[in-house]
Amino acid sequence: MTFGQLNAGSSDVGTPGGEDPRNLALQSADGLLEQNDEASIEMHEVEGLSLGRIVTRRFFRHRAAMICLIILAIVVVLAFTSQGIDAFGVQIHGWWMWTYAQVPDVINGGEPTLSLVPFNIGIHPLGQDTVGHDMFAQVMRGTQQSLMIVFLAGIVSTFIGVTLGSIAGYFGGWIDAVLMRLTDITIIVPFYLIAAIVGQTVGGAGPAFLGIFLGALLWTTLARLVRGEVLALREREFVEAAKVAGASDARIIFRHILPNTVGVIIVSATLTMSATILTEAAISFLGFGVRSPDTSLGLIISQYQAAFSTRPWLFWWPGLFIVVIALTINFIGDGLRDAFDPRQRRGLTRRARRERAMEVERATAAAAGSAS
Amino acid sequence: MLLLIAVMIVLGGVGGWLWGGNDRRPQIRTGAITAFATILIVLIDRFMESWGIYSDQVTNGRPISTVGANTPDLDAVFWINGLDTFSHLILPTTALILISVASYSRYARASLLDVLNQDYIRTARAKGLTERTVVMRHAFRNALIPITTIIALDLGALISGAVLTETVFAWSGMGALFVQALRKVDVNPIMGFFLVTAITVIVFNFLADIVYSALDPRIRVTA
Repeated sequence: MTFGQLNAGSSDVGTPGGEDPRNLALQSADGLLEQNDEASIEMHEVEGLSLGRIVTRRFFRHRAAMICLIILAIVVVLAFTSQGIDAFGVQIHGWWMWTYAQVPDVINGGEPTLSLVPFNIGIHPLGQDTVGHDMFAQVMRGTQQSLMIVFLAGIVSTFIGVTLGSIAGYFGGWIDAVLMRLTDITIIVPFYLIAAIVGQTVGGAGPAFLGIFLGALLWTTLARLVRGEVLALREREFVEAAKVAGASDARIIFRHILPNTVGVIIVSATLTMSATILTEAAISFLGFGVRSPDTSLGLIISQYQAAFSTRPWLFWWPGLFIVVIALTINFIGDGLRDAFDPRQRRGLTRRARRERAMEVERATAAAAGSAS
Repeated sequence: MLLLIAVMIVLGGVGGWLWGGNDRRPQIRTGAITAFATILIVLIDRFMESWGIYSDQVTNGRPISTVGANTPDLDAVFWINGLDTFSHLILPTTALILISVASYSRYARASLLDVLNQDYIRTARAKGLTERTVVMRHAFRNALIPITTIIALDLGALISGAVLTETVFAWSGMGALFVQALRKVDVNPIMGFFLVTAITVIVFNFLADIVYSALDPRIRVTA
């Protein structure tokens, strides 16, 4: 079970397919291990369920997370259908009348034609830039690129960070020393310097490469965080118990220790993903990564920073989408964290709580019936 | 000024030692603490006396400055200069604090929630301890490990790379030095920059390791 996959699966637009890998990965063995100390009536609601089922159920009952998942899904669908898909050799046209590369005539100084009263979309709802690019097309294309970069970077950095951090923390000794010095080196070398040098040698690379590149540099915080947590968890009794029971090192790390660090991992991964949007803009600004006429949200923002007072719509709309993406990712992360906490009792809606109480009642009644 | 403070603390301690009588040690401690508090209040009072002159005459009634590390061509007495530095520090510091507060609070929330559901917290509550003791003594201490990691990383990062903040507030620090050296393709400042950042990052990460063991005595960091 890798948490990189886990993040990808859960933020994957909420399609049923997106949930599957997590369930399969977790359903297998003793998922209820963490729960066993809670010998009480509370056990009834999770009886016979694997950890994957419990987590999925809790996550779907987390209202804020579900709302954010839906909003993010809407954003993704909007971005990918309106501009079509143009990546990895696949080309599908979108339904919006302009593409991001087209340069129609500037109408009315590029003012947005969107108005709510009376409701009217017009031909350039989010306005045009100085050359005439339709801003809706630009923002949608930028959202596509930014989403791809953000998710790739998040997956790669989470995977590397969790793996290295947990190995360093668990084994200690010279492995820890070597891995942590490696982390130190990665922290020390300035990010933008590497980006500039790689940009010079590689030239403009696609968003996929940029995402992986960013992920390969952003894992340091997570590695140190996970290592710190693992150092503390390693000395706990349940790890001793697992060792005595004959569990292998890999099993102890991935089954027993890492589920306890999920909170920190998710917070760090979501914060990294939100920050990546702007980091990518800085790197694109250095000429490495997304290049004109292609665009990304961060790039639009940094291009039109000077236009803030004269043509604010060039700044507000991409900014709005950045905020929406960052906020929804953070809230979904919060929901996942709450869902993963085996002892968490808060964060359930009142209806869910009532349903659960009824279930428990029924279960106890059934148990009493069968006993007598 | 630091010397003055040190002298005052020592004087307070000496006073406690001389007239301490039977319980010399607490007397020394009390004397030193009182002396420290007094000299601090005296210094702040002296600075505040100059505040009127500084805000009205030096800055024309707009004392919070946005650019640079001090007012150019300001050649005044020590007190005015000190106030000048402080007022220039306000905005950059606030900006950096605001950036950090957001992520720190999220980490604190996540780890504290993890800890608050542990069994020993229930034990502490069952013992009848006050909520404050439970949260501060039992829970918060164990939730501090991720925060320690982040603080150590951030301190290293702040020293080396508050480039954006430095640019916005025209403050010439390490970040500005690095960027300028890069622009001029000057190798020596870059090597110096690497040396300093490398030392800070490694030192702070080692400090974090030590703090781990202090927070949770079970942790053994064997390097």
